[in-house]
Amino acid sequence: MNGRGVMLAMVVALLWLTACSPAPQSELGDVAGELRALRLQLRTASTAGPDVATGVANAMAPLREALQGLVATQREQERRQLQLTQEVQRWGHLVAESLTPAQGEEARLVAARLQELEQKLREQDERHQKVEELLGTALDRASEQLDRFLRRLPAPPAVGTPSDAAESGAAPIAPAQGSEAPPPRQSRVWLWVGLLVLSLASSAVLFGLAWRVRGAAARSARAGRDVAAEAPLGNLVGHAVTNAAPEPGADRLWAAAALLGEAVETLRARQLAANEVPTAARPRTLDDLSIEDLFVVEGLDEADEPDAPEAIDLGEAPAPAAQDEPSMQRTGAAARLDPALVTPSIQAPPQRAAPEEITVRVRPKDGKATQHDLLRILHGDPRILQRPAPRLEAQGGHLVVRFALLPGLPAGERSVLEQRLRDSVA
Amino acid sequence: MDSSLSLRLALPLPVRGQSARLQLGANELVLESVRSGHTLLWSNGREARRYHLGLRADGQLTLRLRAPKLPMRVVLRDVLAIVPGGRVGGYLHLPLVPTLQWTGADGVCCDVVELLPPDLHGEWDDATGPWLHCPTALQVRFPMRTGDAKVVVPVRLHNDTADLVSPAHLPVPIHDAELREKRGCVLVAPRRLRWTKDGCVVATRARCGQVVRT
Repeated sequence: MNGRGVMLAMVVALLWLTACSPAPQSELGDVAGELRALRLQLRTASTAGPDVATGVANAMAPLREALQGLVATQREQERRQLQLTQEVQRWGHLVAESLTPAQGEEARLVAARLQELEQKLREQDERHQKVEELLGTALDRASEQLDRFLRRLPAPPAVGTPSDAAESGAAPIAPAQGSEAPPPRQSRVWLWVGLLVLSLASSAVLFGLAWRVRGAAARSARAGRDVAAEAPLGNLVGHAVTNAAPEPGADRLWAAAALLGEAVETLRARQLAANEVPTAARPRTLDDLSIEDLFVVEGLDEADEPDAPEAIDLGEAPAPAAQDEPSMQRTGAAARLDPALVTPSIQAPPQRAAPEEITVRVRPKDGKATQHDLLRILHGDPRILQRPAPRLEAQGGHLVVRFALLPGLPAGERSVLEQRLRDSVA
Repeated sequence: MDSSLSLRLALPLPVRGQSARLQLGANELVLESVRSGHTLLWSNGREARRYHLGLRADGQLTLRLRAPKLPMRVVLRDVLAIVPGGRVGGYLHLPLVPTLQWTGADGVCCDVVELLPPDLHGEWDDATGPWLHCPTALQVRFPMRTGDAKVVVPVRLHNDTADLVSPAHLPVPIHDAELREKRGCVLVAPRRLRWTKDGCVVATRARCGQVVRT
């Protein structure tokens, strides 16, 4: 009996000891790894906070600068008001001292009024300071709210990286295990900050582009005049390069705007035509033509175009590769005239006699400068013919200028032009 | 600044001691009433001239945009080459001549001052006599409004010859009666220039067989 009891007691003790043995080492390691992973996530989240704040601060920097500029302007105005007040006070004292006793009462009233104005100015300064504080507080609150908003944004579950696992000593946490993955807050924050910066940059670019277009419209008109003025010697190459190459961005914008306007006008015209009675008569004069009639580049069929040629006596061939017949035959072409179309003919030259050559003899003071001035006038004035070209000849210390004028120029303008040449060397 | 063009702009006669001002593109006109008459000051930003005018009180001055009186040869700033059977279209932006015109109460008109634009200059040769040389670019889109005194001429160029055509200039006749105001621009009906074996022929095209009488 004693032997059985001892055996039973030993078995029970053994079972008890077995039940009270410590947990396997692997489970403890898993728990410790999870704890390390959570601690690492918390550390990462805590380090992401300053980055968000920095991004928000960077994004709000333009607004802060604008507010600082506003505050600086207000301070400058306050300083000027203070100076003005002091100046008025000094003048007031000066006037009060120079007043007679009979005007003392009036001076006291003026001084009281001045003190009242000063009090108002001080109250206004206080209001300005309050406004500044309010603006600063509002800016800080907006920044904080934006920060909190960005922090509250939902994030997709993160996948543990091998480096994290190695650092924490635990296995990578898989989403399939049902654990709460840390949100990738930083990437979302940078996305929003990037969008904010992109919007600011795009608005700045648009503003700059609009400013550039506005400047280009003014410059394009002036550029043609300036280039024409600066090329009196017939520098056609520079002329062409300058005028034929406007700013590409502005040109495209204006062209697109013009096309859009034309399209809208065309649609309106079509809508109006559709609303009108279908038996309306076709336009009979050029005034009634729609603007789309002027588009000859696209959308015209060859068969729709009326042929009504009229030969033009150009005086010289149009320079084809083989100029077999340089002289134009006006009569032959006129036989093919379309009766439905009357074409304008080039005016016959009013006169074929050689233009009268005008000779002006001047005595130059400074040779090169005088010649430059004379050439500038001769090649820049549209009233002087450029073919035959004006000539400058030196004859015994004098300069002889020979040129021809446009036909039909009044004698007064001719005389003024001659005098202008003489004055240029005086 | 409004860049719309108008073919006629009235320049009112100012009362004694005052002035009237008129702006047209780069041209600026200031008419002053002085003791013995009127003084007109013109400037285009680079050059200025002064005119002494003797006017009557019962008339009016008008600044008109007119086509150049002499035939115009348009010299393109880019090389134009049209293959046999080819065609090309575009727009020319050609200068007009602002002319100050006096119209009296009796209906008598006379041109007082012609302000030739600087991008037109006259030339002369034995075959054709005087003509105006006009450098410009062939634009592929409708030119934008600049406020300058210019006319838009739609053109279409055809080569009906068997050879390449690369003209030295384009004959573009324009008459005052053709000038029209459309949406702030001055323009004329499209021109078609066709090179044939007989030379270059110019036709004015209007839609649907419209007749353009000049």
